[in-house]
Amino acid sequence: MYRVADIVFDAVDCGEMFRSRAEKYRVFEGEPEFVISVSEEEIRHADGRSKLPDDGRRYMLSGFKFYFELIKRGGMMLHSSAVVTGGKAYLFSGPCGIGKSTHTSHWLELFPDAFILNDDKPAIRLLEDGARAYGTPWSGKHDVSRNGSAPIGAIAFIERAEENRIEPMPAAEAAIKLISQTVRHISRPRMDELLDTAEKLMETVPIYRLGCINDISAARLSSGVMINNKRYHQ
Amino acid sequence: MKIREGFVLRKVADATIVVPAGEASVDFNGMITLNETAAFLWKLLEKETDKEELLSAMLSEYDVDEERAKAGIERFLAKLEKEGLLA
Repeated sequence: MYRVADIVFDAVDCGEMFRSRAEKYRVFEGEPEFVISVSEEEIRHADGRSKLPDDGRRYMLSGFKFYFELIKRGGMMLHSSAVVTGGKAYLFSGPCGIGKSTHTSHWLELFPDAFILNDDKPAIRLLEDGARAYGTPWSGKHDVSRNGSAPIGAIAFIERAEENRIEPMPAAEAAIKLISQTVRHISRPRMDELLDTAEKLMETVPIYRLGCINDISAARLSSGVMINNKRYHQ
Repeated sequence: MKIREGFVLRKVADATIVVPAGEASVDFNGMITLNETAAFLWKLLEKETDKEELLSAMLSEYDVDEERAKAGIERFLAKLEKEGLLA
């Protein structure tokens, strides 16, 4: 059994890659809320990642299945690199190759206590006392993650720019960005739940647009604004 | 004419967004932001309708002259057609 984002579940036929990356999430007590399994049929139909070996597909599909369950429980995955400093998580999202991990690596340089909670697909849950980010076994190429969690301080969507700038993101655009950087191809009831979660998340957590050049000056700007929530009005 | 099945319309702050779900999400990867009139037309188009019905609904809902309403409807329908959003 495993516990990820405080959800206990079991997993069968999820492959070796899943097993090794999920090792630190194993638990030996509790009732699983559901069982994740990946069938041969699903592996054959997994779209888009044709280059992945079967084991990689099993791993990827096991993640999607977990994140569908997360949506039902009022949470969501955000395709992002999540860095924790001062007890709070800061999530940097955006399309592949935009520089999410590069940006958070600069936060690691700036703050001695900082660490990466998850470098690719952290889980987010909305709790009574606010939004929380969690490490998960699905964390990108290099498997940079911790089995831990932290309240979310702020979220930023990264864009390439000629110079560094950061500004609050208007609500409708933030909703679209949140939906575009999470699991795709979901049913209508899941989409309704996901939109509910995204809306609540936007009410709870400041969301920014960060235009940046890929060096440490961008991290100085983003951390200065996001940690203190300066210039944030909604 | 009618909008394709499988889109979820949601008002967020001062805009309305449309996101694909289920089957529609397989071949439509984008997301759409609608202004107030576009959202009004979209909702009418969730049921089978035609240009005349759209026009009379527009004229009774908004303070707009017929010429402009017609042009607006044509533009919106052309956009939907181009994006493959009509059934």
